[in-house]
Amino acid sequence: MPRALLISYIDKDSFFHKLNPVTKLVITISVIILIFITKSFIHNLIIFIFIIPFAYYSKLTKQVFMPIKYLFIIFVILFVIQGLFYPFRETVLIQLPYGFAIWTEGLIYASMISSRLLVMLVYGYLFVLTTHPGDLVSALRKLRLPYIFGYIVLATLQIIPRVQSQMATIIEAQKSRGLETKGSIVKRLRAYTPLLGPLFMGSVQNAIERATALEARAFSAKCEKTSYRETIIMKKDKVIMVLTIICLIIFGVTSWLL
Amino acid sequence: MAKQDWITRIKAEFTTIAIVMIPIAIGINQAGRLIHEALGLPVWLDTIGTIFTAMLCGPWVAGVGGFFTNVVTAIAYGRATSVFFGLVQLGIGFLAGFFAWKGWWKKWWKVPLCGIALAATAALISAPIVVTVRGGVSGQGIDLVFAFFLATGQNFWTAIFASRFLIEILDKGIISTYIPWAAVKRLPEKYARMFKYTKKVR
Repeated sequence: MPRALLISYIDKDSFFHKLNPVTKLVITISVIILIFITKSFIHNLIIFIFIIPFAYYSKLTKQVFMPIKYLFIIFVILFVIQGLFYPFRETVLIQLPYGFAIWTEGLIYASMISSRLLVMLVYGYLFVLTTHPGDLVSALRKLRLPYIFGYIVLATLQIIPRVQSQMATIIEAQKSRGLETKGSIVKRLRAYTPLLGPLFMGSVQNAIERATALEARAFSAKCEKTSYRETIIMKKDKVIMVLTIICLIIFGVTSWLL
Repeated sequence: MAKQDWITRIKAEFTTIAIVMIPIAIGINQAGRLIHEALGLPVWLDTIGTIFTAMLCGPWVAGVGGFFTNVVTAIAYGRATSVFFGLVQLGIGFLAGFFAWKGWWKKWWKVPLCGIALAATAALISAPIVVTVRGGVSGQGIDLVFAFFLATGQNFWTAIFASRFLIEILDKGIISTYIPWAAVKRLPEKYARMFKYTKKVR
């Protein structure tokens, strides 16, 4: 059975956990902007190395590097496809039989893209690990973002596991009625209707019930709403945000000059 | 004054039931993956909830719902790259809702045509994103098609667009448009009247 709430947040008592979610968001977005500015993968690798002190200070040294496992297959395919078929190829690195060759430009391009992916995923994962979604939503609401966005994020995290278990039930129920999920393509294409029909009908019913429940709690009332989790932007948050943006500019300019 | 009207009109689309539909649509998008695994066909169903919402609640709600599918995936699993692909979902949701607004889903033979338009849009938006973010590689069977097109000496952009379009056509051309459409058609009247756009689809 799926978990009740699907989040990867790990509760620890660290400097990074205590930062305001907005500050962490600014850091993450700056890093992502930076890796699209840089011109060579060596710069990206330097940015990647900076994750180590961050991970250490958030007391999550091991977990931060989990996404690398997921990236491995993509890296292999990326290097094979771009190494062999990169469209702007010029110099041959290794000549292969049957007219194929490994091209230097392709490998440079592949390493550029893979270092980018690596940095993005690891920093994104650090953000998710150290930020509770509830805190993120309440911090974004403080920035006067419409509360609809907050509702969408939090409600979805609860609904996804529920819909998934509903779907698993439908699959089991239809199989027990003799639905064929194996066989020819036509047979399998026919199986979509009995599987998706109940899901749609059930979800519409669910939506109407939820809407009634929300309205009973004054969801669309135009008044100031309070939230359970409170976040405050402290002085250290402001200092760190300014420092991050200064760092972004310095790194961005130097990576262009070097 | 005219601009003000636009904003109020868009805001009026976000009724409570429409807002509630968004998380449920995202849930359906995610549940599509389970069916994909059970049946093992190259039909991802990852936009099926977005298209369903588009037929019920219109372009703006479906666009927001589509974009947030990927934002929530990013928050839940920590995959920052998936936010970029939210633009594809946004485009599909908006376009499907636009078709609903125009009343193009009414005739059964127009449904596959709209599906093909959605597949082309998906390919058009996702191609530049997949190139800048992932170097044209997605880690699935589609990469073989892409490599085949590149190996036969196709232009880079033709290769990536053609491979994406080919793989989207079975998903969006048939399953992901026809089944939500049939569901909206068969929705009991007492439910259907709660949504604004059902009149324009049935």
